Amino acid sequence: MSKSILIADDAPIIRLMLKDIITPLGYQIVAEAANGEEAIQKYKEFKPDLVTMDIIMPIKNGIEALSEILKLNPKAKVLMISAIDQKEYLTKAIKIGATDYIVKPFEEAKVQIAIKKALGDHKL
Amino acid sequence: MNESKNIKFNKTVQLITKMSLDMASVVFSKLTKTDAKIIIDKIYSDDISNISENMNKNSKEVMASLVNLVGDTPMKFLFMVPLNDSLKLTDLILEKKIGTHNEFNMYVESSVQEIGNIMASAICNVFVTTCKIKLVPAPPIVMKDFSSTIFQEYTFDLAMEQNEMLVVESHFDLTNCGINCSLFLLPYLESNKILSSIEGL
Repeated sequence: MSKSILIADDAPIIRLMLKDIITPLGYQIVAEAANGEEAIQKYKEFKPDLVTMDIIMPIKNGIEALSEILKLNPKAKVLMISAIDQKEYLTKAIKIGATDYIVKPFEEAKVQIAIKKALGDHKL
Repeated sequence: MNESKNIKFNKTVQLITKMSLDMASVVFSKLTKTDAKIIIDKIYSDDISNISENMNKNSKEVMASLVNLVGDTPMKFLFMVPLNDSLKLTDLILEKKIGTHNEFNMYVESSVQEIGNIMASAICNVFVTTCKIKLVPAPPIVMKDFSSTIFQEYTFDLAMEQNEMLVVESHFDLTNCGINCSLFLLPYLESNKILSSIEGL
C-alpha cells in the first residue's frame, strides 16, 4: 500500500501544486486542510504517514498545529513548507519536532527529496 | 524614484524598503517563472484624503491580496492586479500557456492570495534580518473590486489613527507578459519612527 500524505495550506493553488509534485512519486494524498485546526482533525481521521504544513494559516497556524499533532503522535512526520524564512520560526519548528523546513516559493525537486527523506525512501 | 517634499522616510528606511522590494521581486519571479522586477515609483507621505482622491481618479477593477504585517513595526501590504491579468498570473504560476485560464475560479483567487503571502513574507524576512525586529504576515485576504474601494477599505483603520499616510508605491515590470500589477507598502507612522531610529545598517 502506498504511503499517505495530508497537505495543509490555506491556498488551494499551493495544494494543487503540491499534489502535482507528490503524486508522481507514488504517494497517496489522503486529505487536504485549509487551516491548522482542519489539519489536526484530518490528521486524527486519516493518520497519514506525512503532513506538509504551511505556517501562516487562519484559525490556527501551522506551528500550533504541528505541536498538537505531535502531542497526538510523537512520531508524526511533519514537513513545514512556508514563505517565512526567519531563523526564529525555523528553530521553533525544528525544536518542536518538524521533520524538515522548506521555504516558498519551492522547487519541485527540493520538495520531492524532502518528502522521500522524511518517509525514509530517499537513497543518497 | 521620486520623493515628495513632505518626505518622512529617512535613508535607513528607504534602504530597507528597497532591499525588501528587491527580495519581493526575486520571490515573485521565482513563483511566476518570469523575469520580474518591482520598480518603486514613489515613496511619499500625504494626507489620507489626497491619497484616496488620487486613487479614485485611476480606479479600475482588480483582484487584490491584502496582508497585515504584524510585529514590532506594523505595516500594511497591498498587491493589486487588473482582473484579466490575474488570469495570466495563474497560468504562469501553474506553468500553463497564457490564455489557459479564462474564468475566475478558486485557483485564480488563490494565485493572487499566495503572491500576497509570499511577497509579504519576503518583505518581513528582510526587515527581520536587517533590523532585528519581529515582523510576520497575517493570513492574506483576497478582494475583487475597484482599486479605489479596496484601497479605502484597507486603509480605514490607518485613517482612524492618523491623518497622514506613508506610501511606497510601485509597479511590476514583467518582460513580455503584458501584466500590470502594483504593490503598496503602508507603514504606520509609529513604525516609521521606530525604523528611523535604527542605525548601523
